[in-house]
Amino acid sequence: MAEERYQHQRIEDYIQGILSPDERRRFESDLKNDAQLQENYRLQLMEHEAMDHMIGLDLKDRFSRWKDDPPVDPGPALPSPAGPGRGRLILLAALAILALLALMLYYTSKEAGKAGGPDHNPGIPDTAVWKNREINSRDTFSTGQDEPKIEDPPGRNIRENISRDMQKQDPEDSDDRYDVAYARIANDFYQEPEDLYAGLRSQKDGPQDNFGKAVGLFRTGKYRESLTLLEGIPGQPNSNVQYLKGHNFFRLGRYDEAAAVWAPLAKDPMLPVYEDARWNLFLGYTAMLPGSKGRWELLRMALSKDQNFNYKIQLVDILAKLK
Amino acid sequence: MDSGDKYLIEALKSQDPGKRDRAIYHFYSDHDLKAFVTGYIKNHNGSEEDADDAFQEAIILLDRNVRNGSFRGDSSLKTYFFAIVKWYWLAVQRKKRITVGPLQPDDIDIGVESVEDDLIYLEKKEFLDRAVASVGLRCRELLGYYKLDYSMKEIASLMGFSSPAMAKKQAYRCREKLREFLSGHSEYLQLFSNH
Repeated sequence: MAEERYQHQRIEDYIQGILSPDERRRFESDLKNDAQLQENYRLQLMEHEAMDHMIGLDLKDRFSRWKDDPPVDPGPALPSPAGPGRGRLILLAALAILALLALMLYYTSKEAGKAGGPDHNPGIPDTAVWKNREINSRDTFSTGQDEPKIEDPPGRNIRENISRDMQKQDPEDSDDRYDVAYARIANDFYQEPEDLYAGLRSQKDGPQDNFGKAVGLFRTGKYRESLTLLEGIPGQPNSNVQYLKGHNFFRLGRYDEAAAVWAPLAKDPMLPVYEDARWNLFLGYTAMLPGSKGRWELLRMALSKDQNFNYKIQLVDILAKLK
Repeated sequence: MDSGDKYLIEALKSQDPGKRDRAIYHFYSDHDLKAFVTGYIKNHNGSEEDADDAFQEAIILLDRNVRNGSFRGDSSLKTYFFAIVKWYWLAVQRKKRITVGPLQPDDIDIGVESVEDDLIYLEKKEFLDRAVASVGLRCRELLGYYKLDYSMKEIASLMGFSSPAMAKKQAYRCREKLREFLSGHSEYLQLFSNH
């Protein structure tokens, strides 16, 4: 019985491709010489194909249903603030608490800044540490000192974006209101410009060298340094330079600036980065919701109508998430 | 491979039913793909109904081949989809003993299936229809989820079982039922060998 179970599991692992190369070789060798194993193997293969067939039949049922009732609304409108359901009420309450917390932390850090306190404030949640760093670096800019060497480790952008979003909740900061939840969703869907990396390998000489370096800095998470280098490239900035700038801004949570550089690129279908710029611009607007609702809605409609939009499936997914 | 394809592949392989549905619906609702299939099938002695069948069959095969790793990413998903349609239609015509012209390179050069397998594929399909019918609708649904690697917790929730343990027990029973049918038809075993 135990032997039977072992053999069954071994065949199962082989079919699923999870045997090590050695085990796999041994299995294939046994299979050649063992008639019983061959029969059991074929039987299990049949079972798997039958189960795959079940998936196919289930899909056919779905196709029939989808004729009248698609699984998703391809272009749902942004949820209206009116008539919140229970889930939305909870979300709103959570956001209100976050905003309150952000205000408290903001004033606490201002006081700490005046007293020349340290960046890391023990006892304050992690997000607040990033917030402090952001505020301190801003203060440094305003006093005309050199920019502090702040490493931008990859993957921390969401945290930083959120801390910036929290600052934006401060009514003195800006008329635009960012919402942490939207920024988080936009960041979830954000992808690094891998196609751009590939395209850059062939570029050489002069200013392009700086561009290559700027890409390198971006890839290692040094967004500010990358921006500085891009700003220093002489002449009229080309679309790749602008496109990369947008990514740096986005990573830094400066969504409005990202949108500003991506918007012209998203209007010119002749540019190689056109499709990517449109998608990223949409993410930028999403991150700035609800303040950007008008621009977001217009772009959403344009993208939803475009059957050939490269990011169609991502668009459907993000809209479903926003819904 | 562009980011859209990468995303779709990830979605087809995912254990999130909503994500999978959206990815499949992406193909199903693509008017360009549908128009291509209809044009191709009609130009090759098929009807509108044949085109519908081929379109749905190609989505099912694309999904299966992406999930099991047969699609290696050497071409775009759309190109692969077109190749599946051509291959499928060739198989159907051969089954009906309709003389078909020689294979074109693009029918076979992206590894859709081996061409010799096309008749076996249709024969298998008929046999599998019978096998699936033998286990009943509920087992069909459950084993489909099981094959998609959904967790027992997810299966329990999707199918209304009281607990993951109950889903597991039921999955075991369904698989036993399936095996019973299959082992009673050993004459078909040779259709299922890669060796």
